[in-house]
This record gives sequence, structure tokens and C-alpha cells, in this order.
Amino acid sequence: MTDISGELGGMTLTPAGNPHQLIGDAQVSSGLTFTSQAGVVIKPTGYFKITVNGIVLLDGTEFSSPQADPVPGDWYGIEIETWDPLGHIEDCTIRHATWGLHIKEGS
Amino acid sequence: MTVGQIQRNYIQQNSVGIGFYGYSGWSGWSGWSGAGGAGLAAGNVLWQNSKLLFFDVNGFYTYGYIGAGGSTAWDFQPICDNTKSPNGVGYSSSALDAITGYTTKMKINAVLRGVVAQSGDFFAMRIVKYIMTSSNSVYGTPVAGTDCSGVWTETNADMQGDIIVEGAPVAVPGDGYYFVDVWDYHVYNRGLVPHAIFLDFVKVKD
Repeated sequence: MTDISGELGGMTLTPAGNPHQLIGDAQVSSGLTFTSQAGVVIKPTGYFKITVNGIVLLDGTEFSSPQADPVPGDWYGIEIETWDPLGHIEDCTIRHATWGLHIKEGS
Repeated sequence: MTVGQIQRNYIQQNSVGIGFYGYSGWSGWSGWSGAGGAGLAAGNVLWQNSKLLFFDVNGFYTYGYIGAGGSTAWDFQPICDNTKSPNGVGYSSSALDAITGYTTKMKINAVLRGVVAQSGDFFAMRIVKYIMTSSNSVYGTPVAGTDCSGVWTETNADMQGDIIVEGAPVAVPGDGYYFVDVWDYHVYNRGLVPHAIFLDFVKVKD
């Protein structure tokens, strides 16, 4: 089990660290890269948000609530404030958020 | 965003599957048109979300609005390439390369797939527009012409539910939010079937 929060830029998550608990709001700042490999599981433990302004390389990553009886809105979701064209989100599962993907203008 | 940068994701059991927020009019969607739109639509599955899509086109927060300066001429092009479904049945559409210059209006084409329809199945889908008033109250009204309902009359174990809602929310200044909402897919004697929605965004150019 691995706890994550805050700046995710510069991090590479692998399945070996599963489950990754998102224990606070997190962000990927402009100019930084956040990588999550296929098979990674991220469990937000509260109503937390991942804000993206940098590069995200998300492959086959699952974002889902750790609650025994999960419901929509258990966590905020992924907010893309600025989309870096070098990034991608592919084959991921996003569940139990208020917003699965929250795309802001200019992304 | 460009085509394929956000693709083949399952977006499931959220309050809103995908929300587009803060777009100050279609000019703001120029980066979205043929880019983000297609990128998002490419093979993503929205499934069991309370609301599938959310478009902020009000300007309430953004001080912009949709429709300014746009003509009413429509030209539709599908920009989605859905490649998988919850039951593993995929399909693809084409014309991904035919996207140019869509800036002003949009059409939503939601297809309910992944359901093995049987005779007697009832379905109902529609696009709902929500208006935010000055008092911040919100009310929703179906967009005219987008209601789609009926009873399946065929029995074919191999047949996918293929229910198309072609919403044409011609957004105008002051419009509120648009949701694509499956408000019922009811299967008599078989309970409720999970909603599996595959999106064909059809953008409209000037």
C-alpha cells in the first residue's frame, strides 16, 4: 500500500505499490509528468481531486472508491485544467467520482 | 487534445461521466473541435453514470456563450470511433479524418449499446437541457425532438440494443447545461439493465 497526495509530477506508479491511496488533493503541475502504469489501482480515501496541468501518462489505471458500498461522488474526480498534448489517458477505469473527467476550457 | 489521447476508458458510476466546463462559447471549443471532442469520444465507454455528459454552455461562470456569430447551417460529421463495449461487442465508425473547422454548434448522438435486446424491452432516452436562473435554481427540460422511446419488438439474442438519441441542442446565448440522460431502459420481467452509452459526438460547423 502506498499513500500519494500533493504533487504527482515526477512520479511513476507501478502495480507493485498497489493499492495507491489518494489521501489528499493532488496535482500534476505544468512542465511535470505523472506516469501510472497498467495495473495500477488508485483509491481516493476522501473527496479528493486530481488536478492536471502537466503531462499525464495514464495507462490501464483504475481509479475507484475504497468504500465497501461505493457511490458516485465518493471522490471528486480528475480535473483537466490544461491539457498537455504529450499526455494520454488510455484504457483506464474511472469510477465513483462526482466528475469522471472534468474538462476545462482551453484543455 | 488530439484524437486518441483520451481513449478506451471506462467511465462508470460517477455523478457525471464527462463534464465540459468553463468553455466560453464555441470559440473555446476550437481547441476541442476535432481535437478534444474526438479525443474524448474515441472508444470511451460511459456506463452507469448518473449523468452521462455535462456541457456548461451558459456563460454563467464563464461570461461567454454559445452561438454568437454562428450560422445556422449544419454539417454533421461523426467523430467517434467506439471500439469496445461492456459485453465485448465493439463497433467502429469512421470519418475521424473528416473533422475540420467545427466551431459553433454541436449535435450529440448517443447510442445505447451492449444490451441484448429482447421483445418487450422498453427504452427511453433523451437529451435534457438545464437552465440556471438568476436565483441559481436549475430546472431541466427535454430538448425537443430528442425523446426516443419505445418497446423493442424483436427477439434476437445476438442483437445489441442500438438506441440512438440524436440531440440537436442548438445552443443560444443564455442557454444552460446540457445533459445526455438515459432516463429509462426498462426491461420487463428482467429488471433494469445497466446503461452502456457510447457516444458519437457530431459536431457542427458554420
